[in-house]
Amino acid sequence: MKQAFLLISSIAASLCLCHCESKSTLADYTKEKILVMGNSNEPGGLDPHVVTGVLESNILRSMFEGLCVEDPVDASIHRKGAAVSWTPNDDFTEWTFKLQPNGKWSDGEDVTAHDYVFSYHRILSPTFGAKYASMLHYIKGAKDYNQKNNEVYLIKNHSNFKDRWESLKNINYRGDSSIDKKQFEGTKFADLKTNDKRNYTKAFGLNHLSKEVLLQIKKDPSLFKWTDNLDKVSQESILDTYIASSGKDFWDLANVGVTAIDRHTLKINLNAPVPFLPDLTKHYTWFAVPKHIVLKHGTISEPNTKWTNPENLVSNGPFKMKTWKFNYKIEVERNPHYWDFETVKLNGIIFLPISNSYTETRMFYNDQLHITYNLPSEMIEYSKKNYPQYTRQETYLGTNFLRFNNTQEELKDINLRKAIAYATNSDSLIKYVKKGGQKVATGITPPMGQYKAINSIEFNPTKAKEYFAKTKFANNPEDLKITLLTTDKDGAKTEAEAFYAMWSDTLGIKIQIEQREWTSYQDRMSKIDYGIVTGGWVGDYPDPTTFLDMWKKGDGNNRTGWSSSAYEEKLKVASLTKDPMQRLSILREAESIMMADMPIAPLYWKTSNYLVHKSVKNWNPMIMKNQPYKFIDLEQ
Amino acid sequence: MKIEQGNSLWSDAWLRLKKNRLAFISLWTLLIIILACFILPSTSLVEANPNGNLSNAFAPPSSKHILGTDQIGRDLLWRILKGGQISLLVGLIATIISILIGVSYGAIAGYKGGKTDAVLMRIVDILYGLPFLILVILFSIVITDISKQAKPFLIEDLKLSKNFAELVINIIPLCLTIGLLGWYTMARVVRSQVLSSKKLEYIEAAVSLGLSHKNILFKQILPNQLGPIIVYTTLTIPGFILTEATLSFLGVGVQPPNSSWGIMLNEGANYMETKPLLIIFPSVVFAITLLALNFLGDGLRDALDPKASKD
Amino acid sequence: MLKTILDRLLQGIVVIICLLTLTFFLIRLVPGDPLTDEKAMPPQVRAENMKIFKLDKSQPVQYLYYWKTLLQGEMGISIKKRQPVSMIISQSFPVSVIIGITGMFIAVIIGIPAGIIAALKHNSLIDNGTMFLAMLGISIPTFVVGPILAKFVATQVPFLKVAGWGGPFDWILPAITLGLGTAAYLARITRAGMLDILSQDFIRTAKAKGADQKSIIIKHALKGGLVPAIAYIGPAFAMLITGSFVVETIFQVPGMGQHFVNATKERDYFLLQGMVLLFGVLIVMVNLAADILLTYLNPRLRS
Repeated sequence: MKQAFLLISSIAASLCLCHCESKSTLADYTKEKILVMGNSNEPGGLDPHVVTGVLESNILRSMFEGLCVEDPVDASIHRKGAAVSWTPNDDFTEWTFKLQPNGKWSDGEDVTAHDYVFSYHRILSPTFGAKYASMLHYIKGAKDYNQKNNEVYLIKNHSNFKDRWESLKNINYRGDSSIDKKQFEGTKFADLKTNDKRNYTKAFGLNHLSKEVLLQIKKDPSLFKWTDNLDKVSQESILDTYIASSGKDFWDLANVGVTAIDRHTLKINLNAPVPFLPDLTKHYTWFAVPKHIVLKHGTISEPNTKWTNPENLVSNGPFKMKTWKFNYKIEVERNPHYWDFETVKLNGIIFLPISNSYTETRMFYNDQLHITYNLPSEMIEYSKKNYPQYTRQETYLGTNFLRFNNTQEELKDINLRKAIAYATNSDSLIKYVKKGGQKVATGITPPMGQYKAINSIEFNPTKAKEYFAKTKFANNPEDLKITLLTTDKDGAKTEAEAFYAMWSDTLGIKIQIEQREWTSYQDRMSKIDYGIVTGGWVGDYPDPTTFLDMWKKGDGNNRTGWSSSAYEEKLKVASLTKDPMQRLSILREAESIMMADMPIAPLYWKTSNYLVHKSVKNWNPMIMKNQPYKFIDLEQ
Repeated sequence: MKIEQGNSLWSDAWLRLKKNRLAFISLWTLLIIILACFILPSTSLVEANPNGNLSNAFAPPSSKHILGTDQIGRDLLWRILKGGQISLLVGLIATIISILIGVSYGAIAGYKGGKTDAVLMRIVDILYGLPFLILVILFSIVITDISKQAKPFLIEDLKLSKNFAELVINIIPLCLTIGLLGWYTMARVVRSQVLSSKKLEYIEAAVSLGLSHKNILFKQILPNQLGPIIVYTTLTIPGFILTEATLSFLGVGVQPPNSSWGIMLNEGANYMETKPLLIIFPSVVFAITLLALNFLGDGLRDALDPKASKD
Repeated sequence: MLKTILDRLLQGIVVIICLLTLTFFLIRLVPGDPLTDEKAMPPQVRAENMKIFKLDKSQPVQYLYYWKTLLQGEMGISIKKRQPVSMIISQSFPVSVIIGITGMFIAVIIGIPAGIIAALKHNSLIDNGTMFLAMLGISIPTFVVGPILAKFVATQVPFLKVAGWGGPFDWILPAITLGLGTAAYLARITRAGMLDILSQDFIRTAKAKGADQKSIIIKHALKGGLVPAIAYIGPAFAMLITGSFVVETIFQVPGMGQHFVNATKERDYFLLQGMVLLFGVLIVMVNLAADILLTYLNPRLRS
């Protein structure tokens, strides 16, 4: 026992050395002007081109700065960020950004237009695998470069083939998306049977075949399905072109619309009018990364290098990295090289990855946090009553909805989808379950700026019954066997039980609830292996397209099996429309086309419920909860 | 002869148990809880409203809802009793499975000793080290497939009522999963007990008398280890009942809107600050059941202890 | 003795290899993969990412790659957190060790004496009272005990925080939450083991001879009576040291328990392998230690 005690005390003593830091209370932090925030979880890295989430964005926005910056009060105003000015041409297809003349990285190096060109080259680089590269597809040529549409450079624009493009354009360059590529994962091409080899080359298309596969096709041209009347010589020369260029970076040929006019002038050319480009530049995918640092630790197209390690990370925003302890805290401190150093009030920010929101709430009540990440629905009423001055309830750019499996026999019937949608009482769901002041959703897109939400659905038991009477289950509702897939997060179970009761009460159907852990739930949703599933979507930028683009055919986030060419046609027309108001009204029409089919049932538009300490100043409600940290202040 | 001996052992035990007041009270408490869970919900004594009523959520105790209502307005007492059906069944069946596996595995390892012991115990080490969640998720997939096929069989071929068939489909996989994943420690405990008792004089005597290994192990050694086995069993039951909730969240077993004590405790914990009744009532019932089980187990242990009769 | 230990260590290596292999293939059977996300990736981006993490290779090839990295002294990179697994473990392991050892310490100093006293005063009020408390300790789950301690104890005691990690004071509540359940188990098991020994003939003989009760207990009864408790402590200790998801999230402790659960839930293949490797080593070591201790306490176990 004595030895055990000695052991414990020696370990305790040694750990004390590294862990004993000044035990500051919240008041001390306030005095030192260090903001302490709950941030839900450990981030998935801190590379703006790799991450995809809100909590990562919270940290990145403190250290990096976009070309434009949010205004702390009025979301429609764009403030100067890394750029001092931004000028569009007449139809919003060409923008010129003038960078801060004294913009500096936190190691003192200049921020230049070349950093931006490098950054956009990096995130779009096909082998980098950036999940959010599509945020930059508005840029001219970006999509082709990013998606490896190499035939554009090798054939269409190439002097050898240019004239014959018409006869060559039907070759399978881009692959066949209807073939499941997962079947080929984990097997070598050489080991496949001849038929599977043909299937493989068909699935991937010329652009995505490796050199080794191309060489095999050269040996045996029948492994690839060429267009019918293509002569052998052309086949050979196309193959040779592909083999010769295998593994090459096409950036120079791609003419992506990003140009550094001089050290401090950046020109961006777009495919179509994008009047909301300044909003996009506030998103972390549009941030610049320090070229000199990134290249010091790896190549341009190499993710997961050491440049984001706390000792290496260099940024251009109001704060810079101080400490990063895994699952414990991330601390940033004031960046002395920041161009607008004077405006910054805080000396630092501490982000705590508190995954348990009840713990986070307790920590706030016990004076350990300035701001929480959220407030669990069970605590909202209690908090409003006991801590009214701290409790925030703000509109948030997001929608929760039910997806219907539009490919399932029963739910193919639009009457059943409508019956269930009309039988869903979102109002009482909000009032008694969510309790966060959410708004009943009447469309998928929440109202934002000039966009008025459409009015496609309401709770109406009579209508629900009418539609249900048209289904083949009208007389035998108990024969309807559909499952509601849900997960184990954030009161999802209570929500599912509420739906069970609503549909049972109104329609007499008994659904089967299936609860799965998060990843299985996501996996089944993406395979459209469910009947009905609860879900949500948070906008990436304040424009309706962030909610509408995902319902296109084959989009990975559609997950319903629904598609409509009329809908996609409308979206396309909208994307080419110059006049902002007219554009929004076309988008509205598109949404109406979609909701007439009711592939999903909107539930509510999200709100953000959280706690803010009274010592925090200038923390104003913002629809995307992206309060610019440089204006935040702390006062006793 | 043997049968008579057996009878007298059990009747002796019963007499001794009756003398132990605490154990006897516990026995009655358990019986009452079991009967309440399985009979009351289908009577009109408890307000049954499986669909709840959102506008009547969190109602305080009243004459209509004796313990009040839960987060979507269902009667809390009814939920506790219904949940008890699942939890008690799972506790019982899973425990039996895990005892059967754990005791025989540990006994064989301990009795055989040497290489067999080493191999068997290292297998336990491996199983113990495998992440629990992986196994559960895999189980849930296999089981969902099987139960989809089994359901029509149960209803159409075995002519079970629909509700009962659903209960069976929910419970059996759950018990199997918990039982199959929960015997490792029991095996370790039994093994160490058998290891130490096989060197006792009377066992060595039995060996020299030429009794069969089976006889020695199951007639001589194990009956003397009933004490630790009973105690360890009463210890695992609460864990099993709580594990059931974790499994349900992962998709094995009870799916909403059905419930169990473990699920109610998990959910209630979120309301600890705001609606404490939602955690207090299920906790009290749960704790009373386990206490009763425990004191009954202790009483049984004392009553069955062959050495105790010498006092 | 030395030979036995070497033998066991060798067996331990086999155990760890089997464990890593099984985990490697089982986690790949589970639906979803590390690239499954709330927001879907375009198929081509997915393919690139599969390549980056070598997940496009066949499973046996991936397996060989895994061993190659491992034999080079590395554990790969966490796909979800984009950090080296070795870094994650080296930062969280010491934290879990502190909480685990403190928790075990609390469990042992409460549980074993309580069990011994209860056994000595068999069927008395003290016995029933102790066992009542022990059973409460077992039946109230940690996710209830933790918040209760945070809400009612931490807010009353000036140097305790409801959650958070900093100085040694912050170890107290998580360790107690972790230790209480184990203490209750230990009390019950110790009591049973002691009762068993106390009713055996050699103790009765000693008693009849009129020897001083205290010395009998220490000399004989403890040796045999603690056998089941120590058999239990082995794996329990490994569990405590790898941390507890519930306790860590309730008290905001940056330990390993969260990684174990999250790595499985998020299919973070390499992080999970790292955690399993560490857990396997712990199990082997701790069980070996427990077995040695058992042999020492109980000469009858020596073959």
